[in-house]
Amino acid sequence: MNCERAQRLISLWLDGMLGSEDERALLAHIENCPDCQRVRTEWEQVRSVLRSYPSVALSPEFDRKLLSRLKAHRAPAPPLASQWLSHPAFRLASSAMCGLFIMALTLLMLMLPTEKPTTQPEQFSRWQRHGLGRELVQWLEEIEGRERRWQGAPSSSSSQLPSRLYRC
Amino acid sequence: MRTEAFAVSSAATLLREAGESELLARCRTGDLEAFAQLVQRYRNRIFNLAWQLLGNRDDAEDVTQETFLQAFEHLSEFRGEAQMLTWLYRIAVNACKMKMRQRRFIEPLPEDFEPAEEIDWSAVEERWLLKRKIDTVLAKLSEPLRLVLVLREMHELSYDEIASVLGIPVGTVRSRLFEARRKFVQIWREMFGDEIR
Repeated sequence: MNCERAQRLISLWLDGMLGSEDERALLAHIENCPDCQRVRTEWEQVRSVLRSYPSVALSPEFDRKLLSRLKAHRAPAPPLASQWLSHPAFRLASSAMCGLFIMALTLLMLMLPTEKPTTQPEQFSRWQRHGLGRELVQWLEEIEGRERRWQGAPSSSSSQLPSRLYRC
Repeated sequence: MRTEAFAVSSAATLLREAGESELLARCRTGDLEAFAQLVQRYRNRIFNLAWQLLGNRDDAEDVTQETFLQAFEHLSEFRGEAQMLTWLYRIAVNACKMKMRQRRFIEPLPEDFEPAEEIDWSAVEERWLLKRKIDTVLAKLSEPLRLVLVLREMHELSYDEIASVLGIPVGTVRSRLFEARRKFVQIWREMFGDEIR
């Protein structure tokens, strides 16, 4: 066993981390090695010196200060979801989203036609109200009347025309 | 006799752990009184760790406060896999590292101190002199070496506990301790001569 290895083992031996076989080998080495004997003594002294470091007590105000700071914190950390929900960035983003949603909804409402969806007869009557329908109807009736006159066919009901035109 | 003593100490440990888990459960509901009991149990060890690492009373108190505040705040994250003390040590060590990085050196020692236990007052001066020497040598060690040495020699933590506190493998703890002991002796010799006491 060389001294480097022996000194590594001394460190473990001091902490009670050495197996019995290694311990026997180490002690045999130390017995014949003044350098490793010195290292062992020095490290034992280091331990003794460090353990004699004076311990101190906390100041009497420690508890009071800690308690007031704890009261400010009060509850332990809430679950992650609620931490997120209470985060200022999340609040800002959610407000912005709500605003955008309201704006989009308003725009959509404005863009939609204000009139009720029309059924066929209503559309027809509206179409008629614009004048174009009447003219067109009158014109078509004229054409049909002429045709009938030429062909001698019986006259068709004018009520059928609007639906036929609507289909076109 | 030895077996009996072990049985008694195991029973005491079990009792303490049972008491601790009950306290923890109460703390998790925001019970400050239960948390105060936990603080009382561990505050001196945490304070002395910070005191040994920082060498300054005010900073050590700050770190101790910070440690318990963080522990209270993050209690829901403590799953009980490690010991409560190991978990608190981890928080305290990180808080000390932050302080050390802010300062980058150990400040002059305070002149006043209050001993935690009854001591021989005639030896106070000698102990203060010794403390100064230890602080000086520790300050010259690198942070990783200083941490393992303090946790092992002054707090008597096992290799596994040190590994858990520092978040490093046990093999690294072993090699750092060897290196720390070697360096400590070397620095001591250079500064104060051969005799380590």
